[in-house]
Amino acid sequence: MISERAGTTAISTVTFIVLAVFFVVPLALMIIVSFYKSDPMAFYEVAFVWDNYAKFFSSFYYTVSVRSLYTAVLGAVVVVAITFPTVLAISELSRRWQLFWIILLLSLMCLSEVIIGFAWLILMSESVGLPRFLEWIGLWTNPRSLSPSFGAMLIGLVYLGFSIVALILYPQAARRDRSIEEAALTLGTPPMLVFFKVVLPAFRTSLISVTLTMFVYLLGVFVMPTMLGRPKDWTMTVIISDKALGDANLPLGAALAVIMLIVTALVLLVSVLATRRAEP
Amino acid sequence: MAELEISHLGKSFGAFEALKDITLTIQSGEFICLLGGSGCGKTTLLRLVAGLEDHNKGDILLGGKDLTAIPCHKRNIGMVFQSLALFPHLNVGDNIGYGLNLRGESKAVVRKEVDRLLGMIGLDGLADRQVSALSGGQRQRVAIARALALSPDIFLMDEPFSALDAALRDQMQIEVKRIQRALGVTTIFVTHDQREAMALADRIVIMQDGKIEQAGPPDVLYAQPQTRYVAEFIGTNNIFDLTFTNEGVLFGETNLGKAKGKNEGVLGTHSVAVRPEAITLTKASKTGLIGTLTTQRRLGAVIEREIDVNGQTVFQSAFAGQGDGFAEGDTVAISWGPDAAWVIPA
Repeated sequence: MISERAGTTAISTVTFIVLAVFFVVPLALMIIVSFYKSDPMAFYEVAFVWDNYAKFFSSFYYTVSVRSLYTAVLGAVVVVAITFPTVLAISELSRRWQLFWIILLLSLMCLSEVIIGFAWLILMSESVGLPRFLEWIGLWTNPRSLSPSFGAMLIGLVYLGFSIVALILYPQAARRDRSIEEAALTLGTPPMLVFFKVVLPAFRTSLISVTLTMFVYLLGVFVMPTMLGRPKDWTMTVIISDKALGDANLPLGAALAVIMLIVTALVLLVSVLATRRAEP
Repeated sequence: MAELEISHLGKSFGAFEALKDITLTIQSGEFICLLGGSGCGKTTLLRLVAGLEDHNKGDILLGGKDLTAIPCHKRNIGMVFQSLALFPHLNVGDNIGYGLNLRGESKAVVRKEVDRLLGMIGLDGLADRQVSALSGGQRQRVAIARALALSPDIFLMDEPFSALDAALRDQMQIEVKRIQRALGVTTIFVTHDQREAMALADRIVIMQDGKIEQAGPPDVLYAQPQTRYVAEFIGTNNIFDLTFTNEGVLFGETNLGKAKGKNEGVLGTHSVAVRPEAITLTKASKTGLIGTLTTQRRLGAVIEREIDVNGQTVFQSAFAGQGDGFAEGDTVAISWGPDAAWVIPA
């Protein structure tokens, strides 16, 4: 008979092997390749050079990385700002309607990014989309397509993140103690202020956590920037893909990926430390 | 402080009528307990007074002023919730001072008032502690202090001690009673625990099915229940269906003798309540109510017995040492004094 201790050890070992195979090994390979020399004919040549990292400090890559961080931060903040009140509103509905919205949100997550991207392209197109509708109701006299643009790309990113954020926040929103909001009312809080005085602070930790999650997720989104954004809106993910696959420069793509990984880790670390320090 | 008048109040949730024509006057400084089983409407009534629900009909007047026209946040109500509803992101001092801060009081005034309230609830020096670091009893006290910080016109409590163990609950009941007496604030306390209501209230309002069954001081409700529901709800009671005739009081075929005392002159069939402690047990005789002692339990200083009388279980209790000498299976006679039998009016 297997002892409890032996069972725990076995589970830990399997977990470690899975993590190593699916996370540590690819990461290690990427780090190793980032030091190789570029060879357009064979992707790379085995060597140990810093050239790929040095290229990052050119204005182009520096600008792209700053833009990527800005886009991811803005997208994360916007998606959480839109989704949180929506989730609270859903949690106030009857059980039947709550179930309906949750199933709908889950269904949205099944859609391919490409399908979503095309849907938004159509919605923002000059011929049949929102511009034509605005012209039809007399709000836009000379309509033009709304994509590609930074705004269109941001909408695509927010759409992608909406379901994820909603499903992360919904359980806490549904289970929250409503009497806290009622207590605030009986203590003289105007209804309009209850959200800011007690609901928002009660969700602070979750909101910071889900915003950071969204930041990381949006930083890695590839399809929306390419479909809905202009080349000057493209994020580092697109550039890395472009370099690694388009230009067959795998070492440069790997180096850019490693740098973005380090920057992302630093941003997350600083955010977590700042949040902990600010906690009551 | 002012008198609270509730008249013909009604509240429905869809087809369900939660409150039906509630009329009740609560004197300034009075401690009222709304008592009843689940779904009787006691919490709904409390929430209507607080302004957390909208009424369908009737009036709620505070000192002659129509309370229903005033939104919850302007009613100056202090309320302690069943879950306590302390703000988890604020420490003890900030929880208690929340309402004062909202009113724009200066930091010094808020701090002074918070310290005063902390002293009143016996938690001096804990203003900076997180509420998550408090014990259950301490959290109860903080919730009470927070509700009282704004010197409310009415103090409402919705089953605040339901999650506490028996010892702590007793202790908190004494604390609440002491604070209420000291402040003289009009208080409405919702509970389903009749023992708690008896211990706390100046007046108990027993509710059932959205209506008030009876309202009155605890001893009056105990001794003179106006309905069978109240007689059965408050404490243990023996309800006998007796027929009063000029020849005597009949329990089935058994004649218990002529009605005496306050029941003299009563005629017809009535439900009669007799408390277990009013019943005397004697060795079986040829007259009176004869039954079989089925259960006998000694609970410290009290002995509780159950006697089967023609299929009806009669409860009897006595202090240990008084009326001992019975064993389970004994045939016994039961009787009660002329004024111990209460004819239930309805």
